[in-house]
Amino acid sequence: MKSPEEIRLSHDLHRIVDVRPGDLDIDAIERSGQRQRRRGLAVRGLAGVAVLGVAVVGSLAAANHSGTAGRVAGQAAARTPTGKAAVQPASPANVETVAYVEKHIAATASNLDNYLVKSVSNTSSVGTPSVEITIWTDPRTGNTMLQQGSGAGRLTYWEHDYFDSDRVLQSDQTQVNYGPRTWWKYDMQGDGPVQGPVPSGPVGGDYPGPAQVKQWLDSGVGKIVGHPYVDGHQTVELSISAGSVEVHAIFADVHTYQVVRSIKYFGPQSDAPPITANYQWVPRTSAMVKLVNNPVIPAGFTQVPVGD
Amino acid sequence: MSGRSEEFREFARDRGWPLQQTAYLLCGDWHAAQDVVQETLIKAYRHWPRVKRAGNPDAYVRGILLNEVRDRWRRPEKAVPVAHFAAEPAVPDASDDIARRDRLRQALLELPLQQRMTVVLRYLEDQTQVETAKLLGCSEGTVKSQSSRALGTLRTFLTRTESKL
Repeated sequence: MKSPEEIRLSHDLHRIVDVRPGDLDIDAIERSGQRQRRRGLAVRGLAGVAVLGVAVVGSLAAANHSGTAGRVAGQAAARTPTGKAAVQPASPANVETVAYVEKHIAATASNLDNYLVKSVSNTSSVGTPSVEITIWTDPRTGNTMLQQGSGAGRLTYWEHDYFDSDRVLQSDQTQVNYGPRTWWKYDMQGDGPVQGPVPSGPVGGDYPGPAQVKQWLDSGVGKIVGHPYVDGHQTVELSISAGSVEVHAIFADVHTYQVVRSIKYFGPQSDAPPITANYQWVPRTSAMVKLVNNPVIPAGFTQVPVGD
Repeated sequence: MSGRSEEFREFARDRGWPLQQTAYLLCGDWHAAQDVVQETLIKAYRHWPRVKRAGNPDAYVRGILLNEVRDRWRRPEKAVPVAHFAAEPAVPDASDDIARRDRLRQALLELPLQQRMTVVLRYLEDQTQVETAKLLGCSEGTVKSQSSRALGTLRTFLTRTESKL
């Protein structure tokens, strides 16, 4: 028999998990299970080959003296104990290197316009709890919409960055605060004309497109550290280190090469926890495109000075 | 499609979501929970004949999941940082219930892993003390004492955070 406290706890726990974030990719799980199972069998096979290999060395030495015995052992070594050919090394053309992965990520540039990018990340601060932030980016415009919090702490913030005809960076910002039912708008201006050529294409945005990944990779030395599953995607994980300190980890889907997770580390000198951002590449819908690119002020909300 | 495949897929479809719910309360993050469940199911697939032979695939796979969570706890570099924020959809009004459940979720993450597992198995999955003891590989007495300590800690945490509001 459960006490009222236990019954309430049970009820609350069920309510907490009553949010279905997405289905598991059972196909991917099964494929991975099959691969790992095959690999396990192959490793066991190779272990057999290794044992036979030792026998070959011994028997070849013996064959120098005894004729056919060594050759028979050598023929047996060409096959695993199950009679199947041993695992072949990957063809050099298919070797996965950091450059290979970066090249494939760069190739996604031509496809960016087909998506909106949703990023969900934690903030990193020392001494205060981290909060979760969702940022939608339209790669076509570079415009972003940020959502944070719930209840009285909920806010939505839009930002549109661009260079004006005088080559000055402009940032149009709008924020809606749902707790006090207020909103503000602020048009921020850069200090002066940009030096050098004005960047082509959209200026803003917060998503791991090819340019961002290149910037991360340029910040240190990359290496491939694994192929974990992330949010239903089989990924290739790149770790980027500056000196001996890991500064970034990037997880790119091995089929589409879209980055689905990034982790930013702050190094051993900082107490700040890492920032993890998970990305979804969402097909464009007119409703969502409109929402990301156009601030929506709910009826009855009051305009206040920026920062209020 | 092979027999293994059909049976496994049916199991994964049926049990994938409850496993994710359990993993979420243990990890505090839906992405980490999905990773844990995927790893769990991959292991279950690899050893499916053994899982079936065990007689109770559900309990067997839940055991794999608990081990996977323990393993990640021992390797903090593999753990996904916990997001200390409500995972429920944002709503325009501040609901006391939502705020309280978010605090409960945070309090749960503050518990030692064994106590958290005990709470999740007993009060989310409604496992009996005997079943919980079997799954955690401990005695019924330990389950009782872990539950009692966990409830006490949760009560204290919720009282403390409520008084700050």
